[in-house]
Amino acid sequence: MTAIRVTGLRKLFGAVPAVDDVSFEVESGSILTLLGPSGCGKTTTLRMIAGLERPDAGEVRVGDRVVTSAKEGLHVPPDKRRMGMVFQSYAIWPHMNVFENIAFPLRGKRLPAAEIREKVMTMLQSLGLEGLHDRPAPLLSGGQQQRVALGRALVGEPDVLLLDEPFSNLDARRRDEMRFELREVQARVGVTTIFITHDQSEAMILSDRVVVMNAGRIVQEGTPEAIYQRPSTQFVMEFLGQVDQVSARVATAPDGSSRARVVGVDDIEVPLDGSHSWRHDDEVVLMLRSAAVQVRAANGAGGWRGRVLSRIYLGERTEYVVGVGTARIRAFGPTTDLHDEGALVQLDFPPDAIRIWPAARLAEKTREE
Amino acid sequence: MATAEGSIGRREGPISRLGRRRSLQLEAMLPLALTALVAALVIYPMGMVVFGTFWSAAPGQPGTLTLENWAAVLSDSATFEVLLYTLAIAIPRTLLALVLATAFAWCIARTNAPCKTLLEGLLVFMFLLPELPWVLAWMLLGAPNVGLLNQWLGALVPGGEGLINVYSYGGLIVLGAARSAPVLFLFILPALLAMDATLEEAARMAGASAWRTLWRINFPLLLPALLASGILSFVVAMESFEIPQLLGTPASIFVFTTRIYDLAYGGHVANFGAAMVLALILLALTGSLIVVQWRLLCGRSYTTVSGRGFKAQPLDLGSGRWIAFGVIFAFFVVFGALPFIVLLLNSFMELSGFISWEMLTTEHWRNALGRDEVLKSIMDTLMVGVAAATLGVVISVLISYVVTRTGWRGRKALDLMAWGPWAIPGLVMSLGFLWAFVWLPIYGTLWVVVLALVARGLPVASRFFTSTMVQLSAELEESARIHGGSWLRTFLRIWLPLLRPAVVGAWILLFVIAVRILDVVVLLAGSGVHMLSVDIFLWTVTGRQEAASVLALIQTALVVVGCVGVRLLSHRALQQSVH
Repeated sequence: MTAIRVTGLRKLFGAVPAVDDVSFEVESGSILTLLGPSGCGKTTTLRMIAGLERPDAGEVRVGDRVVTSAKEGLHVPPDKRRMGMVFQSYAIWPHMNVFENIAFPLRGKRLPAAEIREKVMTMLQSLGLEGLHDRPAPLLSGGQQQRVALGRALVGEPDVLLLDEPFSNLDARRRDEMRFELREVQARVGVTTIFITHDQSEAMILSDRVVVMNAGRIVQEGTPEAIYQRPSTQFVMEFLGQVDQVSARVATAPDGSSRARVVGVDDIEVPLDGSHSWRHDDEVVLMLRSAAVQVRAANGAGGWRGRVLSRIYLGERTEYVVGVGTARIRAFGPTTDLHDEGALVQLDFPPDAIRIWPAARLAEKTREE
Repeated sequence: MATAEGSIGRREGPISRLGRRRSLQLEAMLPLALTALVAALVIYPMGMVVFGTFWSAAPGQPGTLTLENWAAVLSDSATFEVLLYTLAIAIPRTLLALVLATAFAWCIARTNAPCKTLLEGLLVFMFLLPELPWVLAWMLLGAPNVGLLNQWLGALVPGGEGLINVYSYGGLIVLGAARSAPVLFLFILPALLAMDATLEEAARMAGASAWRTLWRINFPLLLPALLASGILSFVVAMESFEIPQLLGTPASIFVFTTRIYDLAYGGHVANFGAAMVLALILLALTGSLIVVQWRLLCGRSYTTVSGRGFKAQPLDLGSGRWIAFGVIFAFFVVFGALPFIVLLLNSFMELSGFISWEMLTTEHWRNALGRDEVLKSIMDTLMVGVAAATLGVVISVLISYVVTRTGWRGRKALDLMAWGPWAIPGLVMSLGFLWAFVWLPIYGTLWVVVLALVARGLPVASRFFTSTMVQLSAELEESARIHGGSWLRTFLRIWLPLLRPAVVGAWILLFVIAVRILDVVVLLAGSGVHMLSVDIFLWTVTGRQEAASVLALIQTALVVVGCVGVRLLSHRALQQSVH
């Protein structure tokens, strides 16, 4: 069942569209992530769903209820949308203690005091905040503030939970902990959730579906696996993980199929698929996902071979920079069996770690179209 | 810059070939010299106020030490009456001003009221307009029965001419609040603008209506700022002199300031001792309130992790937005524009208090501008203004430097002393300087007036420079020192150029304060020195209102020209000055 449907959302800041023609749907009870670099329009999109901004065009539906429609001039105020939200700054009210912060949504509903107390205490317990109910808000740590913000967003049993980069103010350890905790809480409550982040690993861990945005528009949408394995543009591929670029040219093989030949190294060839209409001698870019590239000692000729340019010991594994022709490729190897600088090595990777795009000039042209 | 150089040179001698050693001395001597100077300007006169309460005669007159003054004042029931009346006027005045200022600031910071920049500009402009001409205008507008407003009302409705009387409690409260509201507005507006908008949005997302958010979130968050600025405004109301003197005294309403002035210079036999005791009591009241206010500002701990600073969506007032605009604009018209327009028109009328075509004359202007004493008054005011502003800027820059940029042990005390004049009522300062300098040869010259104004301007200007200096990295100075600059050269070549915008802004501000202020100089300018404000005041109380109006308009023009300069140069300047 579709819980949220966003259609043709657009927001102008001055004459510049911050969000342009954004449409997506969120299944009931699932987590959808809006992923993108800062300034891509993801926060503005979330704020329009929350009712904190009015769109210049488009519509937002929650269940069968239209909450925002630019065409009809309809705008349900944020407090009437039955949503909960965790802000990036947490927005914990500094003049109230923990209990009052969490009880706020319930007090607005005029519930009896005993019921409010019970609900807040249950919430505190489930968030691991027992005993902190009378602590003044300014005395909370970052992680505690985040839990209070989450408790406040959930206590009123909203239809929709909105999370605006909730982990960006936490240190790395707390962040890992809270990601899994959030996933658990969300699954238990079963609330439909829209989550915003610029961190691709967060998106991978938390989402049922991911919407990648750039420059105000949706670039790709799908499950985390689909997006990681089949990025539709160079931008998505680069955004989802460390990538090295290798220049190549299109060459026609004797059997008539097209191949990309790495510039400066004659014997490395990659078969081209039919996703573009390749022409002989066109410049192309090979993009190689570093995380999937393994280093081993060179044996035999052919394949991806190069010399070690530098080596960094990372503890759990070793990172190498390997020169292949004119390109520098990052790759990984075990901490045993080290290769020295200058050594000839072989690079191994699965076929789906490499993707081929028309070179920048052409790529820009296709993007404009 | 030239003046700063001159002053440093004067205090420490010219920089010679031994510059290196001398500037080392200079660096060490400066804090001490500065502290001594500020003590002479702040602590010494206040000490003399204390001394005056125990002296049996007028300042400078032979007398003996006595407890008579205290005994007389404390046993006099009039003392408690004065305290009561002061509070009875200051409290409602402050509350009314607080309500107005908060409503105005709210409309401008947080709603979609139209022309917000214009409205803000008008309120800032009102805050800058000098008080004395304004009060003069209200004497024309709001006198019972014959006042212009009463004449107009009487023409509209039968019996309307009896409606308004500024010589009353109501008049003192309403007009006082109208003067205080723009000042408070300037304090509350930044607090409203600085409030983290996500705190409000979180409340809306948690199901609170706009009104509940206002009451449960915004109001408690704003409370410390409201309280702090409210106390400051209350202190200003207690220190107020022009309004109660010109409007309250004729109706036999006496507050602290007017009672002090009456005792020292009034129609009765002068009773300086009693005046000094009342002055000290007033000083103790205002001083302790300022300490409370300071604590409040320092103790504000409402800081949270800051977000990306989304600007709050302005509240949609619907058609009410035009009502909001209308109310603020009407406030400006009635309490800002009208008095000065009436004052201007009145100065061209044969008979003060009646405005019509048949009475048009330029006689008052020709009379006033042809008189030597008027020209002297203008010249003296300009000279005092220039001297006080220049000296004030030099001293304040040095104070801020010592306080923010050196590790000198006494810097906290210096900062506190420079802050002190906030808490000193203008009239008390005037008395203090009278006692302190009456036996010195500079008494009766421009210099006493200049020194008093420098003291008055210290907190304003040094806040100004301190806030600028803390934003500048210490490495700028350290780098200059490492690369061979002496302390003096570093100060002149690095600090002063960096501070230039603040220097210019503060100079004009101090000049404007010097030109428009009355209470600080009212006892110091007299026979030898003529200040516009004092002449306007004395001529008004001695019934030469037409000539006073002309002087008041000249004073207004000087202030407005100066303020336009400030407005163009620095917006921040306006928000940090109160008087």
